[in-house]
Amino acid sequence: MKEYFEFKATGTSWTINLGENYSNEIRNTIINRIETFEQNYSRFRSDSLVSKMAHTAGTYTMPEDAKNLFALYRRLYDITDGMVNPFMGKTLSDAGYDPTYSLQPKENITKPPQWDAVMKYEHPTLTLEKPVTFDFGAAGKGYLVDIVAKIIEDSGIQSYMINAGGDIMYRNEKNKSLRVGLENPENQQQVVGVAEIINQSICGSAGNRRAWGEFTHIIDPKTGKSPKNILAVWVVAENTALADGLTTALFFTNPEKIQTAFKFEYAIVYADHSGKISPNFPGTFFSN
Amino acid sequence: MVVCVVAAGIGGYAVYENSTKKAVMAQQEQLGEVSTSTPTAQNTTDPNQSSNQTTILGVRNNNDDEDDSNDDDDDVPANSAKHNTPQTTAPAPSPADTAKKTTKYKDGTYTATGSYDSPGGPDRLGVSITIKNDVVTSTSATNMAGDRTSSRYQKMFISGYQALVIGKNIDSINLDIVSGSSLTPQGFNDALSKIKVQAKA
Repeated sequence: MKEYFEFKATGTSWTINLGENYSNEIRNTIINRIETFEQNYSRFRSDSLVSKMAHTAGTYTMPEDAKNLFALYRRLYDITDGMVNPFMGKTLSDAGYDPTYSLQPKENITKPPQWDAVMKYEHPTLTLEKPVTFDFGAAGKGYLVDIVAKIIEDSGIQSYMINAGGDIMYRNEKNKSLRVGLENPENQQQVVGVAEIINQSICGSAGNRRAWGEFTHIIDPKTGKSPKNILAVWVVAENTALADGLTTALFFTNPEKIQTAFKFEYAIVYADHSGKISPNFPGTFFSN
Repeated sequence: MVVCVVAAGIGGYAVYENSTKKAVMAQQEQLGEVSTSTPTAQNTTDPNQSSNQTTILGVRNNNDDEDDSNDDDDDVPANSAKHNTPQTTAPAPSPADTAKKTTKYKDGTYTATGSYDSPGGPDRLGVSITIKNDVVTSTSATNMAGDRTSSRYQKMFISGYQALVIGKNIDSINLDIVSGSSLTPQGFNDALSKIKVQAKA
């Protein structure tokens, strides 16, 4: 019996381990659900909902899963003073992170608009004042992991692991923990520490893989540049959307401030290789 | 820079004790070529500057496993000691290591003492590095300052630079999974390699 399955989606590799509860039916349900999500929210697909929104202003009726996704983005936007911004699509494209991966930065990098200047959203009705290119790279993948987790749990499975390219959700009904290596952002054959999670999510973010020229996939919406002061960030939280979104937030806003709005644990490696770990982070860094 | 690597510090202490025993066990003394740099007073008062220096040394391969719950010390040859004890001399390399391949430097721990003139008079700082397979796997410094001001600066320097995060090879740690930046799609990697070729042309 096959215990796990792998596939490519959302621009990365997914692994889902359902143990002995694996079935082709649940596999297909999951893959179809991910496909629907990408068809709505991927700016890399020319026929997606967000690609339509990038060309045409007006009123849209949003799918059910938009409600919580946008609510999380709004909270992240507020606590980071607009640094986590859902309208980064054009900025990233200008920097070269476009559907063809040109990786050729334009001379002028478009800055994203302010939330309230372009969008009003009262579920399910979303109104755009002008066309705008969404990018859900900050929390979309983590949010999708949570959606997949719900499908799994609704089918009665209580022990499972979902790994969407290093964004991990883990549940175990026997309370067996998962030892997660924290990848060295400068050497993928190494880890800089270990975390042990149980019935939690962990997400990491670093500029090492999606990096070209002066840019990474994380761009400061106010300066149009990629932050250089942090090498890598990990967040452990109750759900994956939160853990994912907070890794991006931590590139811009100090953890103490973010902790006034969200419950999470973090580990940060700064550019000078010093580390900072929240007191209750379930793991450690290696140090010399 | 605020540094907070509490548990790792405790792990380091456990290794310190362990490795000291191993160093004592080492029979053969081996003193390699040691380049003795002379730190300036300014160096010792600027932990950040010194940190950057040691980062270059410290971030590379470190095969030591400081994790107590996953102690595979059995795999470590008794005399390829890992330690923070500058006062001990270098342990002998294990025969297996020397027979296996040619390295530029002999495995072992090397110690040296740097001296410098501070406003309070001449002072010394002990430095120790451990080399394995031509890679510096750990470094440490010992406070040897004579007067209180120098001692305070040396302590700041030592605590500042020791708390740097270092990498260890994945296969030396018992892990279920690794979390980092997301794997990239093939298209991205292809584009990136094209750019690298252009950059070289």
